[in-house]
Amino acid sequence: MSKKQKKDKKDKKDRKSLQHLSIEQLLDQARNFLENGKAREAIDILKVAEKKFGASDPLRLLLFRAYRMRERQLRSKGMIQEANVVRKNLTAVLPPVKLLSESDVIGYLSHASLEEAVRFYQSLRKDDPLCGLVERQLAYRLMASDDWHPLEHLPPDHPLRQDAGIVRTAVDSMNEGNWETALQELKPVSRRSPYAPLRLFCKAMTLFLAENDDELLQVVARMPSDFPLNPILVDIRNRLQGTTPPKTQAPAARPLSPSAALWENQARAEQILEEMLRILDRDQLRSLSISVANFARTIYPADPTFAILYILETLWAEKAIDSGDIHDMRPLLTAAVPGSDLDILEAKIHLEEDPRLQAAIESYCKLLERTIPDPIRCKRIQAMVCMFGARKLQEEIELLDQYGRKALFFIVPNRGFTMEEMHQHMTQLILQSIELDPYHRNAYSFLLETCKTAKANKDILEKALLTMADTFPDDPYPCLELSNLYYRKNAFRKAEKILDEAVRRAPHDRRVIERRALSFVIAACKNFNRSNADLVFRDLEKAETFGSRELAPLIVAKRMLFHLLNKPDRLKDLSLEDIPEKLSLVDRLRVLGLLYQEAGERTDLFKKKHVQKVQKCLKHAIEKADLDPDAIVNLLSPFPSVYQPVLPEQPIAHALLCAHKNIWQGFSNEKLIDTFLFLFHPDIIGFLIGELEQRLRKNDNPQSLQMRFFLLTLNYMDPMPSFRILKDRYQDILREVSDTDRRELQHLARRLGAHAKGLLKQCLMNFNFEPLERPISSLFDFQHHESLFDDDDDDDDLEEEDFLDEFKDEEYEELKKIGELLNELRPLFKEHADQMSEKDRDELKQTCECFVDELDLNGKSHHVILSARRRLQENDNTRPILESLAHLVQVAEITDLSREAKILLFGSESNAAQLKFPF
Amino acid sequence: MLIHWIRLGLSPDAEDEDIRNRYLELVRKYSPEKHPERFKEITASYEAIKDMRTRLEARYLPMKASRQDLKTRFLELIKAHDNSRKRVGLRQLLQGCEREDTP
Repeated sequence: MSKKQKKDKKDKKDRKSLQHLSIEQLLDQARNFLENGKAREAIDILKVAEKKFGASDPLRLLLFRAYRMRERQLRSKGMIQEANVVRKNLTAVLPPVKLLSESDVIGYLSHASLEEAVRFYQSLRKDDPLCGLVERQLAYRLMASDDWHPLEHLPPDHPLRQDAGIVRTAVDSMNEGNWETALQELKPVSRRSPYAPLRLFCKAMTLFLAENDDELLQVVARMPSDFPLNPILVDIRNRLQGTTPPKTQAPAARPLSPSAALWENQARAEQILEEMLRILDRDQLRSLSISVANFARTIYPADPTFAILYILETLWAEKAIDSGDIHDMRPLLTAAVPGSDLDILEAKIHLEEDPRLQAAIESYCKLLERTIPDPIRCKRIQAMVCMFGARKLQEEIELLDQYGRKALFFIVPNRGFTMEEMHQHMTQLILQSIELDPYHRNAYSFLLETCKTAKANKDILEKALLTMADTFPDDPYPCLELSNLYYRKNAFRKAEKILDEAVRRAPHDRRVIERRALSFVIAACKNFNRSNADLVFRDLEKAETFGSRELAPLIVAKRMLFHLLNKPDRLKDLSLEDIPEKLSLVDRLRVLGLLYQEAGERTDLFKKKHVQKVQKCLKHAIEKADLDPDAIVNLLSPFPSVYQPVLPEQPIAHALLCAHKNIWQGFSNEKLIDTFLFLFHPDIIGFLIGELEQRLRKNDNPQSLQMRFFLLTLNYMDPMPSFRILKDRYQDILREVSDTDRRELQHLARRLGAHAKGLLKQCLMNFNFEPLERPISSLFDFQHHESLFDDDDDDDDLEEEDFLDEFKDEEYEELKKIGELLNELRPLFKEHADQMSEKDRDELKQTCECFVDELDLNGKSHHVILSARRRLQENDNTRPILESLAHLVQVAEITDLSREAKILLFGSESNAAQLKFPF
Repeated sequence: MLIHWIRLGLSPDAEDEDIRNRYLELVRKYSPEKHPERFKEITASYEAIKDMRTRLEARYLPMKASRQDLKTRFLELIKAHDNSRKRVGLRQLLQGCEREDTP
């Protein structure tokens, strides 16, 4: 039996079953169908009921509603002819008006012809409650159709006819979008008029365009819900009350909102974006140029050229296109973008990509001279370009420091510089930048930050800081930095002079006052060494007059020290009571600590037994003071680093911990870790290790994992590695931790990393200790041992010849051979791809992951991995390895590689997912 | 950088004074009490471009890759618009409402 026959049979059966139902049952069923939106089924049942029981009012009303629902359904599907047929049936079954609800009337009139609507209105009694509603509906229909002839059927004094002339004129204004005029024209229309909502709508539109949203919302609230343009106002209200602009889904998925026409075209911009991204995937440069220009015009009509350049640069920065693509697009964009702007875009890209940084900077600066007419602006930009180059070099120096020399291959371009030359180039670029734009403060700060360590840079720094002092005549900062520099150069008179200048510039600045007071303490020390005793105490008195609280213990300590140095035997009688009581207890203990340190460092003058006596006195004083942990932290806190010229070599904590080893008794384990991190100094590592070891011996230690981790790190940081006995390993500790503890350890590692250097710092920051605990011996390891405490000065010792030797060694040749071999094997792999076993695939996968491991790329950012990939591609020896691995992965159809491996081999994760061969 | 210009409705050649005036105008319009999110966005944009050097750097130095994907980055540009209002006639509005006339 065919489907149709089956359906007919079922329908016949259903109809037969309906014959047995009462009229109420049939009407109930029809109501149910209507509630469920099944208009056709409801019509069928109601027809059966009409045939069997005759037409009754409730039946006609239900049939009317069923036809109305069906009509709406057909219209929404665009089946207008069918809807018109249903409309005829609807009119035929129109029930008496008294049975109709307001929504029935609105529904009926919304698609009735004007003549029908007028006839319907005329059928109403004058006192019918529906009259007002129908009049309004008629008014809306007249306005929408702009056909006013049907009004001729109404008496001349009818409200619809009375105001028609005014409304007709206003509708013309409204059609032109001239809502303000329309509102004025509708002014004579009374509030009771059926046209009143139209006037209200004009007011709403006027307020909308005037951006008077508060009043607009009030008007929207007064608008009758049956007004046909009400959805627009509701949509506007929703937009205005929402905190963010409305979310626009894919245009195809959602129709435009009712008020979409009133806002600048977001939906269209999204369509254009979709189109642009589709074209981008297809690599069609011509279409892409058109699409980029189109998108730029849509999102930023104020300056489409600027937007085009921005979009192109974004596409380049996100690696969606490369510099070659931009170059190829030039002729396609000339109509929209001036050539000079494209030149600047290309110069910017070269600045980032070109390994010949200096040449790129020079050519960019020349281009700027040609294209920017204002010389001041031009110099300012040139200064920025120089600073960009300097920062780039600084980043590369840091990477070299972090990754060792193999970074030259994979992470940073090989610019052919030694580390020292890189420093020199960087300094030159900063100086060039300062010369071009002396008002750029960041350049001076950057110079100070990068040149502090190298001795040769002191003259350069001095010159730059003097320029800064001249450029910013009211700023004490360059004077303070100059004074530091002069003290480092032992140019005391110059330092004092420049500090006087700082005081003149900022007499109330706390930093300046403190530094000037310190300069007198420094002068006192110098005079003491020159045996100018009378000047010593005069200088200290001068220092005191500044009233610096931080400096007070140091001044008191120096005064006492100078007295003791004149009469060294008095040291044996020294006690806490000798220290002036105007200082706090903690400061007095610090003074005693300083005196103990100073005396300990001058064993030629002071007897050892007297020094030991001071140590005992200090211990008793600390014990007697019974300080709480916070006060102990204050006691042990280091003096500011600028005090260094007048301080003993070791931090004060060293002296106090020597005197009192059990100072940590009152500290909880948690507080202890925080305090150790705060006080950290290489000279006190031994004390910290001792305390941690002692605490770890106790079993009931809730922070034992953190303390073990801390202890192990301190052991690595200990500057006396010969004594290092590692009882623990990071991997062992990490195996024992829960997820929560792991997060805490990670946090601790980052804090410890701030104090570490070299490989240890890298491991702590990345929370990956494999490189530290398992030496890498592999193809890509150049046997370079990275010292944990290497500093910049050590790196400076690397000579160019060392690098060249590294590049030409046997391992380098080996790389080349492996690349060639893999290249030769490629066709073979392709031929036998179907014979590859699961084991082969696993091995290939592991090889790829090892490749990533050996380049230290695990967990690295997308940008770093792409940089490594670029370096590998640029190098003739490493390119075949990369290409071959990618090719083999493609042939073997391996898609479950790590993120890092995917980016390294295929350039992006999406390329890897499609196994798109990238070369 | 473009997003800030779009958000503030300014041309990239605007000077310090224009930027400040426009910011004050927008802050008056989108007060923090009534439009907290919009106010935050506007202020962030103003902070990003108020300094002349920052503007020049963004325009003349190479752009850095962001962590967002390309589509999100461009969609933000579209959404940054100040929802500019358009003058539209009655006929066009009625058409919009006819499309909405669903059961």
